[in-house]
Amino acid sequence: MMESGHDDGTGLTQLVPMSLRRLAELDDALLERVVERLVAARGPADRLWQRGDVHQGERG
Amino acid sequence: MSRPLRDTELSGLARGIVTAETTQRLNAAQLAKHQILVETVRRRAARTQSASTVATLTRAVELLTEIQSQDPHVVDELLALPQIGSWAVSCLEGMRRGERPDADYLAQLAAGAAFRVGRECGPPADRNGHTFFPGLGVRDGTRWTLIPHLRVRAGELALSVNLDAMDPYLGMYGRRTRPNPREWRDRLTVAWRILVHRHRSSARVLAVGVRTLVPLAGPTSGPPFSGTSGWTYGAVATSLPDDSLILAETLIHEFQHLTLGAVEDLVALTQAYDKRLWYAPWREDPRPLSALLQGCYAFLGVTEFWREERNAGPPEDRRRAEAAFARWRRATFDAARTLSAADGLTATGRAFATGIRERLEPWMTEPVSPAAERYAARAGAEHRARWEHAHGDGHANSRVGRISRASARG
Repeated sequence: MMESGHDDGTGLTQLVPMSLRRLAELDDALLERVVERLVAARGPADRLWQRGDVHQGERG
Repeated sequence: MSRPLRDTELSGLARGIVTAETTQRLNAAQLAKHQILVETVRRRAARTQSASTVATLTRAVELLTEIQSQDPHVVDELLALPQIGSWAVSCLEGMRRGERPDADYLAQLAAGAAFRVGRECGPPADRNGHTFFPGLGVRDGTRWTLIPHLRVRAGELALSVNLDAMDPYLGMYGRRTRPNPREWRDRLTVAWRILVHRHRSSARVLAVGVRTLVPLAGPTSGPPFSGTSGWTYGAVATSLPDDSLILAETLIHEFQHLTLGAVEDLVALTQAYDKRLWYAPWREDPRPLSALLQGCYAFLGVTEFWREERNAGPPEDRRRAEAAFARWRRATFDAARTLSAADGLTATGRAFATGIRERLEPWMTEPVSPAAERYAARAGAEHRARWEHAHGDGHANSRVGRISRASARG
């Protein structure tokens, strides 16, 4: 079904697993590229999934 | 370097089939994400922040690095705490706005790691002399107020969670409440028995994936308020329903969100350019495509839960299980068809939309009572009419996609 599951990869895959010590040696460009894909301009209020919220009628 | 997910696992995930082994791989990827975000906070702060902030962050990362090299389990457990993701994203967002990151929080985390390996490093206390240790609790001199830890067991499977109403980075879901741990344990014990006995594969997944419950204020009866965040993998926020069956369903619903969020951290599911909003049969507000996909995935889990309950649950609950099954299979199937026709998904996102639809397809023809079918049709139509009344005209020519309107006829 899925020819290539990682066609739109964020780059996180390349960094699993990695210790803090090894991460400290990673070059800025690679780290920033991955974080840009993971986070971009999003903040803690994004990617929030709520159900039965007080503002909602039916559960959802 | 090994890939976090095999293609066969991703194909299973696309159909909503999640195993404990897959979840452990997602756990590892989320730990890596947290480490990357912590390191990014440190580096970006080093470019823009005051010397004292940089020093605090640097000392904390150095201490965590040192302890991790000697005792990786201790540090990995702390860095995997759900709130580390939201702390880091809050810091990154704050720094984009020119604000100072909360460096003390990382110092407190590192101090917690030191404390666990028998070292004392004097983390910053607040003006009342209290020191907060993420995932552990508050220390005031020699007195501790611990975050309650609940462990419930049924047979060989245990669920072990913090009940965290304290952490400042677990506050985004809604108003929290001071929990009564005994009440939570009792309700969770019954919910866990239901899950282990009748939804065993889901229970195995929850046992390795859920590590924190965030107690929300909410109704004492009826459906609870609940939520999850893509930045706090492993945490499920919920009010405490009086009905353990609903608590069990809530855990499944919410962990579906966390699973798909963790997949999305590895591979994009939607195209960033698609800004249209869509009808979602479980929400009163129009939703972006990514949220519609999230909802479909969560309600695929809900539909499966009620399908099992109507077959294996206690006789007195089977009528409502059948009604819920009929309601959510129809709603989720319609939404999955909308998704399948949308052009804002990536190849993997399309595979998930197809997978959800294909999984539901055989369930659509399973016989249910006429009463359950009537309820599902009526509840679905009423929701749609209410939504169209609120949003139909206002959005029809602007941001709500044409496909979402067309799906009303589907």
